[in-house]
Amino acid sequence: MTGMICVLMYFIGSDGTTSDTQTLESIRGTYQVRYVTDPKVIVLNEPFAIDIWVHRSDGNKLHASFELVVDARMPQHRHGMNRIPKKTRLTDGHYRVEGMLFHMPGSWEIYFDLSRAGRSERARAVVVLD
Amino acid sequence: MSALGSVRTMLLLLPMSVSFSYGADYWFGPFRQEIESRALPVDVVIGNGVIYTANSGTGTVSMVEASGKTLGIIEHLLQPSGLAFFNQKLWVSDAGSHTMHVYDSQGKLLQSWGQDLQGELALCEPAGLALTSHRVYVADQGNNRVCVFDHSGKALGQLPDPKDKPLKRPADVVVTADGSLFVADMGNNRVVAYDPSGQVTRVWGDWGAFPGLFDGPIRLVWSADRLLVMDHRNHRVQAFSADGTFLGLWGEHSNKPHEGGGNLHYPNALAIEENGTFAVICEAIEDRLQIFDPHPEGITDPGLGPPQEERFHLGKQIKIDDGIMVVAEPEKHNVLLFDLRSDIPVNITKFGERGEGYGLMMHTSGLWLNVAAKQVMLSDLASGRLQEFQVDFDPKGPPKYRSDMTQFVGSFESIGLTEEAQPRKTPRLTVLDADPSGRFYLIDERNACVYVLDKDWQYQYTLKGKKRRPLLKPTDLAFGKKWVYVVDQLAGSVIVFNYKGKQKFRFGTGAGAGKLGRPVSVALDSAGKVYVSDSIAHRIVKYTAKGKYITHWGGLGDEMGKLWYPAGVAIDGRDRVVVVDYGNHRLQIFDQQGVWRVTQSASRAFTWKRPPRPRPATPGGKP
Repeated sequence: MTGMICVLMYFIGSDGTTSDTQTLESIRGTYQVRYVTDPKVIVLNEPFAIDIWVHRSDGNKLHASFELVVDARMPQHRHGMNRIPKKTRLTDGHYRVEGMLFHMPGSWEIYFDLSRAGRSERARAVVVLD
Repeated sequence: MSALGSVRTMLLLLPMSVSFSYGADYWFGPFRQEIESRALPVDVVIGNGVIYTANSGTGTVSMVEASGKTLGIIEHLLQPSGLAFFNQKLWVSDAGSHTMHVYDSQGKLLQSWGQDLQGELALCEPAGLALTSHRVYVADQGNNRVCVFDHSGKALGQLPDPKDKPLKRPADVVVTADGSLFVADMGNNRVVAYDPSGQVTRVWGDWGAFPGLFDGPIRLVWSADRLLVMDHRNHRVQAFSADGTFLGLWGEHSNKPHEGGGNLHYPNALAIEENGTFAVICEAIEDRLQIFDPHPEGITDPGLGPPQEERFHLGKQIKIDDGIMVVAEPEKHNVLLFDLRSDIPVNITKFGERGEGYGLMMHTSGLWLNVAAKQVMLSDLASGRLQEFQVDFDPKGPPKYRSDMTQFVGSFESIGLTEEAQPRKTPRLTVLDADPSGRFYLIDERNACVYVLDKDWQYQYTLKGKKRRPLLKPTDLAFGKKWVYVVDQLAGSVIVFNYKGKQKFRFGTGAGAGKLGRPVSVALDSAGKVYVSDSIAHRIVKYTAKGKYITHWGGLGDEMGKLWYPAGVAIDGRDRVVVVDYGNHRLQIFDQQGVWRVTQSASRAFTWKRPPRPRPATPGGKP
C-alpha cells in the first residue's frame, strides 16, 4: 500500500532539503517547517522517519528554549500511533524523528508542535494512506 | 481513611464463596437504606458505630447513626475533604483552609494545625489521610504529594514519587497493620504501594473501564488483606491483594440520576463498620449515604435495569457568544458546540481526544469562545495549559453537524502566563474569560485569585480581594458595563471589582432570599441583571447590577425546571438563561423570570411547547 502526501510544495533548499521536501507554515505564521519522510513514500505498517528543518518566518534565529514535538493522529478515529517516536536534534533547527508508523489506512495528520517559553503553535500535514 | 476492619469482619463482608462479577452481587450484603445528606458528602468514616461524613457543601462534618438519626454537627470548617477515625479521635482535613483538625468522638475540637506551615511545608488542598500511633499521612493533593507528620503537626517528610512519574493529585492514603502504605494516585489513575520504610514497591493501574483500570481512584480502604479502591467515575469499588493482583469489582452504575437503591453514581468514599454490622458509601453528587447490610445470605442481584438514556456528563462551565454555546464533557475528553438560534440547542460539532499532549484533553475546565474570531480556548487542569482551537463554521448558515470543523492552533503554559504575578503555589487555572475590551481573566483556584492579562496575554494585575478579607475560592466571573463580578464559592458571595481592579462591594451574604450558599457561576443579561447559580440551594438567584435581590427559581429535583447542583450559567442572545444542571446530567433553559423553557440531555429534549408526559402514578396512588 502506498501513501499520498496531500500538502505538496516542492523546492530545493540550501540546507540539505531536496525536491521531495514539503513546506508548511505554522498556524499563527511564526515558523516555517520543511520536512521529508524516509522512505519518501509512507507505507502502511512500515516504520518511517522524518527529517525536519524549522525556521522562524521573520528570519530570526530560533530561541534557545525552542522545542519541537512531533506526533501523528487519526482525528476521525480519535487515536494516534501505537508507538512513541524518538526525536534527535541534529543541528540548530534540524531534527530527525524515527519510529513513526501508521498502522491503519485512512486520513492521518502529522503534527509539528513548535514552542518556546511556554507558548506553542502547530504546523500540520495531512497524509492519506490507501 | 485509617485501616478499617479485621479478618473476622472481612470474612463477613467479603465471603470467599462470593464470586466477583460485574455488579451481580452486593459485596456488603443487600442494600438497606438511603440517608439524605443535603450537604455534599465527600468522605465517610465510621467510629463506635457513628457515621461521620465530611460535607464540602456546607463546611461541616455530620455525625449520624446508621438509622439516619442525626447525633451532631461539627461546624466552622471551610471545605472538609478527608476523614480518619483513630484512637477515639476524629481527624479532618480541610481543603478550603489547608489545615488539619482533631476532634474527640463527640465533635469537640481538640487541636488544629497546618495553618502555620510555611513555604515547602504548607499544605494545599489536603484530602484523604491515614494514621498510625506515631504518624499522620496526608494526601496533599494540591502539592501532588503525600506528607508525613507526627500527631502534633510536626512535618516529618513526604513519601517518595515512583520512578516513572511523580504522584499527581493523590486523593487518599491508607496504612496496613504492618505499616505498608497505599496511595490513590488519582491524577495518574493508579495505585502506588510503599513498604513500611516508605519506599515504593509496586505501582499498578491506568485509565480505563476494564477490570483493574481506574477512572478517578478517589478513596482507599484496607481490610482483611485486601485493598478496596473507590473507582469514582467508573461507579464501582475494586478489590486488590497487597501485591496489586486484581481480585474483583462491585458496583452497578445507576440507570438514571438519583436512582439509588444500592446502585452507585459517582461514589466518593466507602467505610465499613469495624464489627462488620454495616457498610456506607457516600455520593456527593447524589447528596446521600447508602447503607448496606453485612450478611452474605442476603445477597441480591440488582439486575441490569432498563436501557440507559444517553446523558451529558458535562463539566461545570458554559460559555455563549453570538448564538453559539460551548460546553465540555471532561470525562469523555470532549468539547461540544451548540447553535442556539432555535428553541432547542443544535449540536454542531464535538471534538477532543484524551491525552496530555498538545491539542489533547485530560481534564477540561475553563472554556472561552469568540465566534467572530472562530476561536475556542480551553484550560486543561491536567496538562496545565490553555489550548486554542480554530473552529471553521458559518455562524449565519443553517446549523449543521460536522466533525471536522476544529483544529488545534497552539497553547500557553499556565506557569508562563502567570510567572510575573509570582503566585505562591503552582497555578491551577480553572476559568478563563475575556472582558469587552479583550483583556483576559484567568481564575487560579489554587492561589485563590484572578489574573488579568492584556489581549496579547501580557500580565497586568491580580484580583485578590481585600487584604483582611481575601478571595477564598473564586469559581467564575462575568462582565458588566462598569464592573467585574467574581463568584467566591467558599465566601458564599459575589465580589464586585471595577475595571481597574479595585474591589467595590460584595453581595449574596445577607439574610433573606438573596443569601447564597455555595455559588458556582455568574452571568449578566443585556440589561445588566445578574444571575448566580447556587449549587447547594439548587437554584438560580437573580439580582440587580448592584446586587439587590430580585427573584430566584429552581429547587431540588429532576423534573423539568428543577435543578440538582446547578453549575455554569450563561445568557444567550435572546436573554435566555442557560444552566448546566450538573447533577441531572443535562442543560436547562429559562426565560429571564425563571420560567422553564427547555431541558436537554444528550439524546432528547423537551420544551415548554412539547413537555414530557406526566409521570405515571405509583401503585400506591402517590405521584
